Amino acid sequence: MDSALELNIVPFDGGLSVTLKGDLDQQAEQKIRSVLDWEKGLGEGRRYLILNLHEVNFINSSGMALLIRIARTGRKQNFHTFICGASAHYQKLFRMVGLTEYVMLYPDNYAAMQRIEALESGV
Amino acid sequence: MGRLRRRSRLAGVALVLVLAGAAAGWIAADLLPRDAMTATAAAVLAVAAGAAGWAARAAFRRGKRRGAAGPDPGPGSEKAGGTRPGSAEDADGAGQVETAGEDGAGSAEAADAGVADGSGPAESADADVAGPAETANAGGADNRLSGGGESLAAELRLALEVQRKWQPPVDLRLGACRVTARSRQAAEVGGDLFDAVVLDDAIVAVLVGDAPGKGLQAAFMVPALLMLFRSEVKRGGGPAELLGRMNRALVGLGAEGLAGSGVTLGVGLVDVNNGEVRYAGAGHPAPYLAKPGAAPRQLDSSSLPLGMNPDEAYGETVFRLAPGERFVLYTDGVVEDAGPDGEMYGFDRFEAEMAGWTAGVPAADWMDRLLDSQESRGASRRDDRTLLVVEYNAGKAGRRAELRERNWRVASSPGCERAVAAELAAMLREEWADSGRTEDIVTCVAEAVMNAAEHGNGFDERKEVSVQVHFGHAIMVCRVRDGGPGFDAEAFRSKKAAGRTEDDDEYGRGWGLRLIDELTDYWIATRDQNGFCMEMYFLSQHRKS
Repeated sequence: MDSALELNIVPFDGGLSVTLKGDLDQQAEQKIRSVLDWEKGLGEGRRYLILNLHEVNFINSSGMALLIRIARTGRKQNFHTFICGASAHYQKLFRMVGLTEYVMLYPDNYAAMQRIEALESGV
Repeated sequence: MGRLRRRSRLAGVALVLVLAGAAAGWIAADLLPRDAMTATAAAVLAVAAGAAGWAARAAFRRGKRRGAAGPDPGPGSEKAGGTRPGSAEDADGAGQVETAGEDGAGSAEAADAGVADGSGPAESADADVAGPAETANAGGADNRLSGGGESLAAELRLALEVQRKWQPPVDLRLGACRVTARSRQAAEVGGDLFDAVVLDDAIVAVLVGDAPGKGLQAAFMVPALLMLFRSEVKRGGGPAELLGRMNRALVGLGAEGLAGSGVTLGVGLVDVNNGEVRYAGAGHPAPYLAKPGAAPRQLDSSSLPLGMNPDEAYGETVFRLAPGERFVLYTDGVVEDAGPDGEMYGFDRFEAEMAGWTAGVPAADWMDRLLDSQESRGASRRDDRTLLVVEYNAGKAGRRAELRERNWRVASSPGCERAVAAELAAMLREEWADSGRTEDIVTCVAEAVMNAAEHGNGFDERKEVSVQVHFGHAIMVCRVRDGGPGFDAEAFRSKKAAGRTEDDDEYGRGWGLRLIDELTDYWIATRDQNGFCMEMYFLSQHRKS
C-alpha cells in the first residue's frame, strides 16, 4: 500500500524544480536526502526551490515536518522554498501547522515560476 | 461591581479546578485498579459536590442580597421520579432560552457548527458558547441574569462550556442498534445528562439523567456524574448494580444534602447483536418501548433517586427489543413542558407522538419534530428536555448490512497507517460522500494509527493497533487502540496553549495530535482493559449546515 517516493529534479535559471510522486511520510526524508542534500544549499548559487506536490497523494505529519525543515533550512542557506500542486486539504493542513510561515503556496509550477521571475526582476 | 468581579473570578477559578480535577480523575479512573478507580471518581465527585455547594450558596446569597423575585432553582427542584406529575410547577414565567444541543446529536453538534464556515473548532465553540448567554441577557427574564450583568453572563458561558466539553455527541451505530440523543437546555445551564458508552464492542450502555440545580451547580455536577458513570460502567455488572455503586458513592460522599431531591438516572445495557436490554432506573421517569403501529408500552420502574438512601436496592428489567422497536428514554422536562397557559405537555401527548411514529422515520427526525412542536407552543420553559432513543434494526427488520461499521487490526510497523487510510478513504467516498469530511477523517485516523504503532506499541510488529469506525447519519466515531500507556491529553493542551517552540529539534513533534485536535469535532483519550484508546468524533458537514 505504501507508495515509495520518487523525485524528478529539473534545474532552471536560479533554482531547482523538484516534482515529488508517491507518499510524503516518515520514509520520505531518506529518499529526498539521497538526491538533494538541502542542508548544504542548492548549489551553484541557486536561490529558489520549487516542490511540486501535484502527484503526492498522501502527506502525514512526518512529511509536513520534513517540508518545514527544508524551508527553515532554506532561510539559513539563502534559498526560498515554494510549494505548488498541493490539494486544498493539504493546504489547509499546512496552514494549521504553520508551514505557510516559511513557504509560499502556489497552485502550479507555472504560477510559482511567475512569482520567481517577478522576484528576480525586483517587483 | 468589585465584589461581583471578585466573585466571578472565584467562580472561574473554581470551574477550572473542578474541570482539571474531573479530567485528571477521568483519566486516572481508566488507569488505576478498580478500587482506586472508584476512589478517584469519588474524590472528583467530592470536589464537585463541594464546589457546587459553594456555587449554590454564593448564588443564594447573591439572590438574597438583590431581593430578586422568584426562587433560584436549586437542589430542591422537583422531578417526575417515575410517576406522572399532577400539576404544573414551572409556569412562573422564567426565562426561555434555547441553548446547547439545539441542533444535531447532542450539544457538541451545536458547539461545532462553526466549523462548517471554515472557522476552527476552538473559535466556533467560543462563538456558540457566547450565544446562549447573550440571548439570556437579551431576554432579561431570568432572575440570576437580570441583575447580574456581564460577570454573571460570563459565569453562565463558562458553565455552558464546561457542560459541552463533557457531553459528547450521541449518534452511533453498533451491530443492529443505533443510539441517538437530543438535548435542549432551558434558560440556564441545566442538569440533564446523557451518554452512550460502547463496552466490549457488543454492549452499548446508555444513560439519561437529571441532576438537581441549574447554572454553575449543574455545570459542576453533570461532568462529575458522567465521569462516575463512565468509570463505574466499565467495572462490569448489570445496571442495577451500577446504580447501587453510584448511589453509595454519592451518599458516602455526603452529597445527600447537595443532591436535595437526588439525582435521577435511567441506565440501559443493550446487547447490539440480539437486542436484549437490561434496564434499571433511579427515580427517573420510566422509559418506553415504541413500535410502529402499536401503542407504546411504559416499563415498570420505581425507586428512589441516587443520593437519598444508602441502602436503596435498584430493580432490573430485562427485555428483548423486537426488530423495528425503539427504546425511548427521556427526562421530566419533556413531559412537564408547559404551554403558555401553564398546561403541561403530559404523558398522553408524548405517548401519542410515539404511537404515530411510523417505520422509516429516523429517531433524530422524530425527536427534532417533537421538541420543535413543544417550542412552537410559544411558552417559556425552565427545564432541560432530553431524549435518547435506541433503535433496533433501524429502518427495516433484519437489514443489518445497512448498519455501517468497520474494524481493522494492523501490525505495528512503520507505514501501517497507509492501508487503513486507503481503505477508509474508499469506504467514506462510497458511503459518507456527502459529509465533506473524508479527508479530515482519513488524516486523523492515519495520524492516530501512526502514533499508536510508534509511541503506543513501539513499532513492535507482534503488537496490533485496532481501528474501529461507526457511522451515524450525522456523526462518525473512530476509535484507535494500542497497548501502550497512552499520553497525557492535558499536558498536550497546556503545551498547545503555550505556543509552538522555535527549537529545531522540537519542530514537527506532536503535530499528529495537533492535527487531530484541529480536525476533529471532539476527541478524548481513555484507557480500559483493552489498552489505550483515542476516540474521535466527526460531524457530517452536510448535517451541520
